[in-house]
Amino acid sequence: MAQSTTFMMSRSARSSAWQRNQNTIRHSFDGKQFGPVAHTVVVVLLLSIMGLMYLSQINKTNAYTYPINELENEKKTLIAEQEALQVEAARLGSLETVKNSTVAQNLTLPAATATIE
Amino acid sequence: MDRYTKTRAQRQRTQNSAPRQAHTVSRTRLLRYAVFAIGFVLASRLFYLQVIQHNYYDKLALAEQQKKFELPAERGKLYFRDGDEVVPAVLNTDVYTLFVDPGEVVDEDAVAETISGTLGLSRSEVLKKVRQKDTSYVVIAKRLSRDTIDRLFKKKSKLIGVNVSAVPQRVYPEGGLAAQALGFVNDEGDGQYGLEGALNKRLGGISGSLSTTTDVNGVPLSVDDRNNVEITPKDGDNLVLTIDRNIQAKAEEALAVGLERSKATKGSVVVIDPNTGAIRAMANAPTYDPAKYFEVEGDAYQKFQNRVVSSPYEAGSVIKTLTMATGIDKGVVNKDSQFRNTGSVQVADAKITNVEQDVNGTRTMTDVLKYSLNTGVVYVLSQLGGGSINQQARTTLYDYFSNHYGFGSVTGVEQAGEAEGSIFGPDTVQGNNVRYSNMAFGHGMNVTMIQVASAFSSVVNGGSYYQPHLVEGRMTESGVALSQPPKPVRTDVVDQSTADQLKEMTRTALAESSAVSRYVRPGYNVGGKTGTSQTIDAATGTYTDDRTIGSYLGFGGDSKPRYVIMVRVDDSTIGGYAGSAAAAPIFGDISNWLIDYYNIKPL
Repeated sequence: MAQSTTFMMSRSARSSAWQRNQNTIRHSFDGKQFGPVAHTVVVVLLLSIMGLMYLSQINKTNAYTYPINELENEKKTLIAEQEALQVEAARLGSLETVKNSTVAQNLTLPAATATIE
Repeated sequence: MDRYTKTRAQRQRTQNSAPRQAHTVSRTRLLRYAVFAIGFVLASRLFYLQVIQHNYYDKLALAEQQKKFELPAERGKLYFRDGDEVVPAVLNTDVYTLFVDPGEVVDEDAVAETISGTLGLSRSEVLKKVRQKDTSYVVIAKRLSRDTIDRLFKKKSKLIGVNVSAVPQRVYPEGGLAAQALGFVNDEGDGQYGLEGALNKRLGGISGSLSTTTDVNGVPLSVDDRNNVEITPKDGDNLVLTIDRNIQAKAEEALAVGLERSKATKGSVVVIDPNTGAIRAMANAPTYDPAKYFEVEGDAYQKFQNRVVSSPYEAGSVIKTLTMATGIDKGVVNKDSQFRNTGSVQVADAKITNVEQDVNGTRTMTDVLKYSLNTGVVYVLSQLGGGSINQQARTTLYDYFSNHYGFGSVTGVEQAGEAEGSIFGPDTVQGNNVRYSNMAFGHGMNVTMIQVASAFSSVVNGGSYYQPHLVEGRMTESGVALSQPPKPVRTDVVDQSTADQLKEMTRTALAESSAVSRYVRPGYNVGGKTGTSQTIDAATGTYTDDRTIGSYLGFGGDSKPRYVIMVRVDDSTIGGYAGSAAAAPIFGDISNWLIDYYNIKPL
């Protein structure tokens, strides 16, 4: 509520009024106040802004799921490649591969040596 | 004139306009009522839909927006031992199923041409599948590698309507090594046979799931975290096995060579560490490649089953070692005890004879094992009864066979389809004196190789029975986490003196047997016993010599036994007794190799 103060008394009167602790303030309406419609409009506007902000945030959050999804797919691909490499490494180290390797093929039995009893 | 004082003219104007103002107010009110009424109807409708019907429409929306994804658990990997190291035995990889939705295909010819050109399939066959408009899922090819899929989808624009789905598959870097012991995983992801079958749940893990709101393309969104429910999958255990791939490979090689030499149809080998029950090798022949189990033809079951644990049989004279251990442990005989061998013995209406007929006379218990005298172990049985085969003798032998050695019940080894065998109790009609006389030399009861090898291990290690096992620990991210050292199930199988005597007796039996000793490196602490058992002719129901099973049961080591080997050879056609002619050479081959592998010192 708006308020204004008008001093209409002489100095002596004012002085005595203050001294007597009299009410020296007058309240009056100037007609520029928010009515119920304005309040409603403001509330609706605020709610709308908050709603828009909420939608904006949700949308932004959801937009992150796409790069996340892409990264997860990439991770899956890398894991699959890692597994394939592990399998290949295991195959290369298998007994059958070692036995058939060039190194193994070229191995010779050690020559017999005499032993002193 | 202040602002509250109207002139006469003004008042007059106000009075003249009164009827028109009343008319305007009425319309405004009408409009206001109408707006209010419409607003009320809308608000009521919204209240009905959003409040009263909230749950219904919420469910409807969720059903449309929410999808449930299965998060599969990875099946546990398996690792072999390689000395002190561990090496992969079974790994996982994804293979791909190529399928087509014929309704989505735009250019049938292009699809058929591209697929047949890349995969080498018949163009007409592919075209036929692409034209099956009555279904939306037609499989074109299965088990395709990632490389193949990558090559195929380089021409993606020509493959509209064609899709792939990843399917996990087991990979065996060592090929068919220990195929029956490992088992395989079928198309449904279920473990079959061997370890895969026995530990299916432990290896399979527990699948998880993700319920989430998705966009139109099925991409999960985080819009509604209340309804996003994720249950994390629990992968299967990665297990380290007791099988040593070097010993396993040697066992398989020796078995294959041995079967070829004896022209036998099938055979099995098991190698156990007698001090822990750890199985170092379990080999079967004929065998198969578990990666191509679906290509096995003929009697697949014969190839899939691990006969070491699932095929009980009358093991024959190898059981004499255990009968003898019983007699020694009960104190009724020792290695030097003598008996009079007459070549045969009459038990009730049955005459039990020896194979070796030229060794009659006074013989020691060591001779009983050396010449494999049936009469000798029947003598031991009679000694258990105080001099005759009776209830006491039968009860004592049954107690040892059943309670000490574990015959007639499964060992609990981690293998699917383990058989418990059969042994007749001493109080049953079937469990008569003749039956028990036969049981003393391994007939009249069914046992598996794993039962016999485990029992023999418990005797040669000094009397501790360990449960035979294949799983040694788990492979974790930080390395191998070994299980607790195995504890013996029983420690009173036989006493140490019995163990020492039996080892010496079997060592002598091997060294002095010309038919067997030539296969085994001399001068080492190696002992064993042959066994040749008749089989029952399915047509006549009687024992026949036409088809025999040869077995060999032995140990090796230095100050203490390091390994126990049992060999079984079915239907050998080589001359001589199957135990010494067909099974013993395989034992010798593996034993000699293990002496080097374990760096065992001579006696």
